Amino acid sequence: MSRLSTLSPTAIRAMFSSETEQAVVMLLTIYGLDGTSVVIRLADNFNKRISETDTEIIYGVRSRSNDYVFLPMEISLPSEGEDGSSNCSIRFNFVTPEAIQIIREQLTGPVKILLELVLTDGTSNDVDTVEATFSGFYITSASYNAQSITLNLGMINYNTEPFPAYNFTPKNFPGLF
Amino acid sequence: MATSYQWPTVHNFPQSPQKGFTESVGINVLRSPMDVGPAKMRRRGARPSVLNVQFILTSQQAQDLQDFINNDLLGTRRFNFKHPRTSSTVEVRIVPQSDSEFYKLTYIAPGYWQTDLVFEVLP
Repeated sequence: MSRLSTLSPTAIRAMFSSETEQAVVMLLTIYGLDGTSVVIRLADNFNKRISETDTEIIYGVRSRSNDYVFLPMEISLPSEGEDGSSNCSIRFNFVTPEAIQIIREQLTGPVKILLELVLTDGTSNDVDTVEATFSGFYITSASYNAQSITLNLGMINYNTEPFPAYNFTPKNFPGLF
Repeated sequence: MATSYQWPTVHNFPQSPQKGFTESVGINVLRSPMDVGPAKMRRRGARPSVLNVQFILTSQQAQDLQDFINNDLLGTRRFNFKHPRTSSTVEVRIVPQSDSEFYKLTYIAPGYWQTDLVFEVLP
């Protein structure tokens, strides 16, 4: 099913118009690093200051009462064709020792993420209308160098799952043999 | 929460650039040229305005500026500054130039120095 059928009229108009004040924002939610309940919410654009201290400003967007921290990232979305790959990747051009430590210590297994597209209209209003959702992706691998961090995303491949789940083999049913 | 760091006021520190001032204003947009017809434009987000300011400082004020950047801002913090055009208070950061140079002092007369600074107004 085409994504156009799920987009709002505002989004479709914004995408096809010659000039628009609407900006597309990608929201990235990372669930449960290392089995914890910690949720990391990031956005690739901002429309307001979501937090500021005497020494620091944190930009981002607020959506459905959640704050998404602005962090520039490049996302290659999965293709839409019938033979479209179910893989996509996210690249952050922002490398810190803390991020490397998280990757090395907490990315010990597939981590669920959620990608969402929202529109901002040039104001600092909350962006509560989700135009597109890419769910079911997991971080399958991560690579990094001095300039960037790349997260490779994949879906569960059911084609390689055994079916039926159990076979009559000595390992599963030793009493039959 | 606005920042508590202020542009120096000690020793009659200049509050507006006496020597020169230029301002660069804009918005981040995506501009996609078409084969035929006008380009398509899409708004991306806010862009910091860039202020090029030039001050004439005494030797004492030059030392105050150095102390302000080294000890108060630690090179990265934002501070309140009166916008030379609008006279409103804006939050700015000093943009380092090549090789992390924050400013350069140029001798103009005994006890007087000219300095060029680049500020960015934070959205």
